[in-house]
Order: sequence, then structure tokens, then C-alpha cells
Amino acid sequence: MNEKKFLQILKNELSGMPKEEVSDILFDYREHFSMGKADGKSEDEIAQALGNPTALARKYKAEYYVKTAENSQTAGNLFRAVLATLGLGFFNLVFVLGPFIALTALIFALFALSAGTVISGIAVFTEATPLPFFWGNVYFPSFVAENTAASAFLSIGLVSLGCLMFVLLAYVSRWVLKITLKYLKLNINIIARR
Amino acid sequence: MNIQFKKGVLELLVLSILKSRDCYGYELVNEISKNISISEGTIYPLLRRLTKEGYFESYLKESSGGPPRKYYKLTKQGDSTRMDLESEWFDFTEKVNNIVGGEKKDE
Repeated sequence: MNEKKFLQILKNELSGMPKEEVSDILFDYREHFSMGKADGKSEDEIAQALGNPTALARKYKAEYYVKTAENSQTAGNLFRAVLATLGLGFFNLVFVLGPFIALTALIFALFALSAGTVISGIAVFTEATPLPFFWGNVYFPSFVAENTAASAFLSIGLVSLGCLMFVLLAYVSRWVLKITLKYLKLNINIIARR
Repeated sequence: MNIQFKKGVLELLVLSILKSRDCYGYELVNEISKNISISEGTIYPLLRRLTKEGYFESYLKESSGGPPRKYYKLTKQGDSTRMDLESEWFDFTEKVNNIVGGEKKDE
């Protein structure tokens, strides 16, 4: 492989990353090639010693997206970081994708549960409070009519419980995001590359 | 040599070389590959990552008869990481050697 081909592959594989980032990376390899040639090595030799440009690009990408997710911790950035890390090898399909899907699903389910709790609280509330005002036209089950105070308390309890779960979950998911990033970093550093 | 061994110490090697003097990428690659055979391309992602972590600063310097070169300089933070890694390395190799060498230490 000659210099042009090597840089071309590298550049193509880096697409998606910001332009300055890509040109910075290419600068390093251009420099490397020009010094290697000044040392009397052939382009082919130099490329050979550098290794596979596709694998190099994947490494840059994974590191870049993990760093971005660290600096701005959003679900989207985390998702991109996980995807980029998946590109590093088959190993990661098992050791990154599996746990990630399981964790995401679990957090999603817990959020749904807390939202459901709040909604059911509101539902109890809306059925309980119209009672003195709209007595004639709103239907409500007899047990609510008989226990207005009880259903109001139940409603308040459910809504607060749901909100509390929501807040706790927000903390937990932030924490999970941090741990995931740590894990991705570890993973990038450990994965063996040919 | 075992690839996992190499990957683990690459960071320490780069930090140690830069402790003695500022280097450009090609120089670092040569310095290391002189002693240990590595896939040379992997040095550059490492340099980039460690620069972003704040272990190095890079600057361009004119070279005699050629394009300017990108030099790397160890920062304070980089040096303290280097010291940590170095002591970990010595500690680790000592313990490994105790077992691998097979010689029995005192009871």
C-alpha cells in the first residue's frame, strides 16, 4: 500500500468526525510518511509498519466519541460512543452491546414504571376531586364517592412516589452513564488489534 | 512479545521518553520500535489521547530543511502520571519476578 492509498483509507474511515479533527490526524501520518521517506524507507514499508488504516481509524473514532460523551453527557452521545466502540471488533458485540441493551431496557422500564405511578395517581385524583362540583354529570365508582379523603390521599401518595422514583432514576441513569463510559474506555484500551 | 503486554506499557514508554526530552511523533515511534516491535500506527492515537487528557502539550517547530514538526512536551500532570505508572510497573514486575523466577524468598 502506498502513502496515498493509506491516507485515503484513513480519511474515508474517519468520516463523520469534525474536519479539524480529521485533518489533525492526517497531519501526523503525513509527517510520519515524509520522515520515513527521508530515512530512505519506501512508502510500502512505512505503511506496512503503521498497520491497518481501517483499524486505526476505528480506534480514533471510538476514542473521540467516548471523549465527546464524557464532555457532554447526553444519551445521544453515549449511544454514538457505544456504536463506535462496537466497531472495534466482534468481541464487543458480546461484551458491550449485550450489557448495554440490557441496562438501557431496564432503565427504560423503570422510567415507564415511575411515569405509570404518577399517571395512576393523577387518575385517582381527577376522579375524586370533581365530586363536590360536578356532582350531577361525572361518573365515578361508588367506593371513590364514599371515601373522598382516602382517595385523595392515595392520589397524593402515588404522585409523590412516582416523582421520587423519577428523581432517583435520574441519578441512577447519570451514574450508569458514567460507569458505561469508564467501561468503554477500559474496553478500548484492552481490545487487542492485529 | 505478547501483544497485551506491549499495549499495557506503551503509555509508560512514551511518558518516560518524553520525560528526558521533547520529541516528535516519528522520533518516538523509532525510539520504541528500536527496542520493541509494535504496530507503529498505534503510537499516534495514543499521543492524541494523552494530549487530550492533558499529559502533553504539542507545538510546531521548524526543522532544518523540511516542513515543521509537531513536538510533544510532557506537562506537570503527565509527569505525575508517569511517576505513578513507573512505581506501579516496578512494583508489578518485582512481584511477577518473585513468582516467575521460582526462587523462594525468606520464610
